[in-house]
Amino acid sequence: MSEKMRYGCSLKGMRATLSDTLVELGHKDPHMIVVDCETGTATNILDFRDTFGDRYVTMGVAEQSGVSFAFGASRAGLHPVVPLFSAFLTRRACDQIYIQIGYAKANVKMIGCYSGLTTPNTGATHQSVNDIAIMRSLPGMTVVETADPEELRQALLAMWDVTGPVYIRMIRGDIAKYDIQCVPEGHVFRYGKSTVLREGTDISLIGTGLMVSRCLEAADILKEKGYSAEVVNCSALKPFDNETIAASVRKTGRAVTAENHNIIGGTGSAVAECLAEYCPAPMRRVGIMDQYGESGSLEELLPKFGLTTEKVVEAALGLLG
Amino acid sequence: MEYKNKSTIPVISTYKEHMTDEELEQLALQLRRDVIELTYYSGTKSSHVGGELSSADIMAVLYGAVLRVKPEDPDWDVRDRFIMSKGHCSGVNYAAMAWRGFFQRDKLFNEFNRVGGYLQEHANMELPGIEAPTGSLGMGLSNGCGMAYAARLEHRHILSPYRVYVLLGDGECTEGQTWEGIMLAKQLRLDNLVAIVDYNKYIISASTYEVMDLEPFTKKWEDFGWYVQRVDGHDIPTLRKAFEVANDIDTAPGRPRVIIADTNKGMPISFMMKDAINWHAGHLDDKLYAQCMKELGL
Repeated sequence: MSEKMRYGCSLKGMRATLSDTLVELGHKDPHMIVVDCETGTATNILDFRDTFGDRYVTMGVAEQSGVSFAFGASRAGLHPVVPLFSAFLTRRACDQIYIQIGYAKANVKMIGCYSGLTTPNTGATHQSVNDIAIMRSLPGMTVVETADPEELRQALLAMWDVTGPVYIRMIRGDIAKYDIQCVPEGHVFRYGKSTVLREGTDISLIGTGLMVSRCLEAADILKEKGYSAEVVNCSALKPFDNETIAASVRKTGRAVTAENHNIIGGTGSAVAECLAEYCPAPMRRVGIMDQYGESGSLEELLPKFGLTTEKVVEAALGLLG
Repeated sequence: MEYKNKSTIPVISTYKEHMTDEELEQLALQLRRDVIELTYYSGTKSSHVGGELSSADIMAVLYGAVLRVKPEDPDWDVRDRFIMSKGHCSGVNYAAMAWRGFFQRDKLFNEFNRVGGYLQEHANMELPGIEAPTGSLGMGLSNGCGMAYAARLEHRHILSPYRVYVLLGDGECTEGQTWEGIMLAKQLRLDNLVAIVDYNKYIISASTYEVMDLEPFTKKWEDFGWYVQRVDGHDIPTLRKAFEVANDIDTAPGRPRVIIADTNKGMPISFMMKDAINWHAGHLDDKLYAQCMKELGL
């Protein structure tokens, strides 16, 4: 395995993990149902349908109805999981989520699949660059983004332990060269807790989702240039883990954030809120620069929109220089 | 909260099993008076009074003769579910709930639209007995599908142990999500789901016909696979019979049921019925309040 293949997540890893873990949960919990709106083929969750039959309910292409249905089912004692393309879940059904999931404190768990640019062939309409912003702004909503299949699995297994609604953001993946997990062996995911993946003293590289792997690679490159970078997997977007983030930046004195999301309203904004209140420090944001996406291969899209290791390094050097 | 407003209107109806049609008519009158009283005493002196009055007879039949609920155990697992999908008409729902014993009657006149109060203009889940937060229109039928489906999944070996009732407004039937729910109920074969449309023919700005015509309304529901009854929504015996038919599994096995109730906005207050456009929501000053009560026999 070359150096370049050390970090990241694969299509098969993320999607298969979602599918397998939903089935595992379904065996454990006879009240669990999955509500789909015809993205189940793409998100690879049909094993749940094939295993549990009518505990998998499809709405047709009707996200608004799907979210309201999930609320009704939860009010009547079922435990609904709603895994949809994050774009359609959070944009199309935003009002339903606000009123009937958030305001209602409903025990409904939502999975935002194909987040950020990671539905490359479909372009801006299907890409989700503002779902963190939407979901974080809903009072009482728990929001996490997982960095790799292992963390996704743990987040899914623990989601019923969280009282009330949860939004788990995940990527589709499918970048062949990124094929192993970011989090270390023995990693324990906890809601509300972000984790330091690598310790350093000169700068904090704070990433979410697929950008965590880029932050780890950037740390390697910075090391070659003589800098010690700390890498934080900022999975706890809400409740936000102010303690871990502020402690890291208090030590290093500067931060770069990296996200597969608009830099407005996402991880960068959340970190800025934290630092402004607890530990003011220079910072730079790497992410989608307030743009709509487009269709194309992910190999072309990620560089075009600045979601690369090089961009993280560049931003870090801008602060370190 | 200290209750300063003490209602002076007489209580002419109390809950009992097997109420007669005449007793349900008394209940409907009580609900109408309570809605006016609640509007007059509300923190904003207002409510969506027009639609509350149009649905008062439907609500009287539902809470007086149809819903199997236990106010002392609002989360009883096999209770019937009622969803006020036209959520702005919470006032008449609160009046019916207070009458049935879900909470103290004085709250109606002291906690509606008051900061920190128990009774929001659009109901929320803090109030025991409320099944869904509604108000942003069009969501209730999908909620009802979720509940009716859960009844079937959770009780696989017996007939659905409860029914789900969803009250819609005709204005609300211009929401796309309502039609998503209509398709879904048919697809899932939810014959334990009963929708009622309070078809008062007015949306906010004008008649529904002028704004977004729903006709041929009966045919639309039929074509979407529902078992349809179209009735006079102010005739208690007729409404009661319609619910009996809708509740009979043999009426239409595998098909959801709808009662389209033709009603009048503001019924029976003369100045509201003449000017329904301005009485979607309304404020009641002393004079208008007195006139309403006079027309309601006080």
